Amino acid sequence: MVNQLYFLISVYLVGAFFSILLFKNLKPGVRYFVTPLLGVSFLSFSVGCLIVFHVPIQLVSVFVVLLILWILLYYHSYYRAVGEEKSILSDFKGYWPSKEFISSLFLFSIIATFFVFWGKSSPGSDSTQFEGIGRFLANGGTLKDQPPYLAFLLNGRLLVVGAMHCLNRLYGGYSLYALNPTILIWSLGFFTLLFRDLMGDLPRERKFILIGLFFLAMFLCKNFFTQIFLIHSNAFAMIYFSLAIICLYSFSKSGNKSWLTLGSFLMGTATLIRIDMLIFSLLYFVLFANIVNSDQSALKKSWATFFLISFPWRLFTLYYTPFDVFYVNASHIILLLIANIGLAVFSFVAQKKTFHLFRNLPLLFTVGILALISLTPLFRPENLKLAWEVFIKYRLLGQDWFFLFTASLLMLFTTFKVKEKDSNITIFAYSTWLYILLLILMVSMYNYAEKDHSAGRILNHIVPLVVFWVFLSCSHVIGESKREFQKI
Amino acid sequence: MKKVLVSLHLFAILIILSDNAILFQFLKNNSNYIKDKISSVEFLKNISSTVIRDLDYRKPDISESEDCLENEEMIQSIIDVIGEKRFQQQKLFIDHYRENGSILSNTIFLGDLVHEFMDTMIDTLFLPFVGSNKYCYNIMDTQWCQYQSINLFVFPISVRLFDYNPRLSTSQYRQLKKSADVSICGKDGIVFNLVFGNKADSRQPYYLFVYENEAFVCTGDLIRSG
Repeated sequence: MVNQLYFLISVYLVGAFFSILLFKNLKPGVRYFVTPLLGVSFLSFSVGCLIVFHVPIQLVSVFVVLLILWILLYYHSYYRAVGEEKSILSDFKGYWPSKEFISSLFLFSIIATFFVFWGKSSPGSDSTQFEGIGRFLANGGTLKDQPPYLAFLLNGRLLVVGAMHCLNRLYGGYSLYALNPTILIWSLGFFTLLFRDLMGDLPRERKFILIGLFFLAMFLCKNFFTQIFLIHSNAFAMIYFSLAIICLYSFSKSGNKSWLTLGSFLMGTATLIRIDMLIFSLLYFVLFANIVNSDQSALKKSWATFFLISFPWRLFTLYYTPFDVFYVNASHIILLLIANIGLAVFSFVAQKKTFHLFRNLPLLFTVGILALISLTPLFRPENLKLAWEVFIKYRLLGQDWFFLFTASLLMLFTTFKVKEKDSNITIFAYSTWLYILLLILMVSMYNYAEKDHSAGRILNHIVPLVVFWVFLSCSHVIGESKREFQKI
Repeated sequence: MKKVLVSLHLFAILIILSDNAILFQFLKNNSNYIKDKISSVEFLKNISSTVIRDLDYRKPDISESEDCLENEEMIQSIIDVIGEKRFQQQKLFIDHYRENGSILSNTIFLGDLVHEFMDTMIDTLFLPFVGSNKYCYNIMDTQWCQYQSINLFVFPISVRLFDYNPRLSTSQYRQLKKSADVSICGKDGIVFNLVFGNKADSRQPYYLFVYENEAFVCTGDLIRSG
């Protein structure tokens, strides 16, 4: 058990090594909170690199790749800060020995220790494959060994969660059960911190009550709570995607571009956690258009960050994915890659040439999806019925989502009025409803009639967003919106 | 207007607070009563079959069909091979998948146990899952689903499918049960027995055999002896 604890603490430390170089304009509290997420990302990138080059995965090789990545990032920071070498050095000195950093590491260790020794976990059928691919890699397996269902394992079980299982085995851990709860509870703290920073201006007492209710509502929300102990990629996808969207809102409030880079980094990692995130990255970048205005460099940098993280792995898996396999086949991957490249090109051109069109991209995207859903019955009449039965009736109006769906519907009606106080609240309205519409479209296009449709599980990725939206909007209604958010 | 907005938001917060794990667990535990009550009202019948369709958790959370109990002798035999510390970790892993896992649990237990106890003894693990490609294979009282996962758990041991009779006769079962080095409870009452054999220096092929609800991993002497 102690070995797993060592692994969890190393996740934080790896993240800390990289966070020195990244997102330096964000306030230290945010950087410390995002540290374990960076650790998970960079450890996964390293495992990914070794898989790509058919190198058996060992701790030494993982740390060599990490070191190379760190040096590359260091020189990237150095060349961007020509003449400011001292500031980089002083950043090192100011970052590590600070009280906040030590407290943050201590808090993370306490949470990790609690979950490691509690030993609670709730694995399902899919957990066996995450465990399996992790053990295969940890035992020295490479893709040359041709494990069964290779395409499925590459696209469905790697990279991030499988890589974490592999590393835990290399640390001497038996099975990885404490990472999910640790990261989810840590992220719950992060969501609460962001909510505190972004909420409307309220009297002190009301502020505390609302923050407390937010924490409680999110923690106990059954769709969040059940994912805490589940060994699956869904919990990680939920955290990375929801945080990416909240980063957009944080940028809209603060104007700090580091939020955009962080958001794109999290979105890029989300596509490595689950391939379906390549659908929702479209949503993320569509919303982007609403907030970056004519800032071309912000748009370029964000797309570049996203492509750099997301595409190499997907191009690699494409090579191993035939056109006739279950789960995800080559045509799906090609379509998703083209869609993302297409949106990037369209965004750049529209931002330059037709700014009005660019600015209204979220609205156009919504109309486009609604049109596609409406046209579906013309080609496949039975599929819209399927979407109704399997997704809307069974999932959205079923016990799993009935309350959250009702809350989202209520919030949609209030958005038109709330946006008079906070125009950027539409980011949450668009992200929630576009996500739901995209899932309806996905179910109606992907002819899978089982009630255990993956769309039902994917829907849970926006649970934190819905809760965040409700509480944030409420804080603006009962208080006054802040105009400046310099501190974040 | 502000009052309406505040009311709507407070209602939304109330809804979200109601959507909590504690209340859901309570509803689950009382699902039969609630469903029966709702169904007794004519116009609510439709709701009970759509909105709360899945609240009918008549099955208990944890399977009650556990008829395999680990005794001290079984536990000691495991500790003798892998040590106390490793045993505790393995127990946690097996407990997690035994209590919460799925039909795949016994398959991955087989892979886990072979890797943990017989890593240095086996070169090839032969499995009897031949014929039409099925998701689950039943042998006597045991079920093996998605056997391909075993490859991942036992690597670098090779896994091959082979057409042999995996069913043990009563006399074969008695003989093997006596020589089992490690016995561990799986899911749904299945017992895994590992027979290490003559511990030869070189690795050997091993086979999966079954007698009722007990699975054996041992060398192929049984096949050769007919």
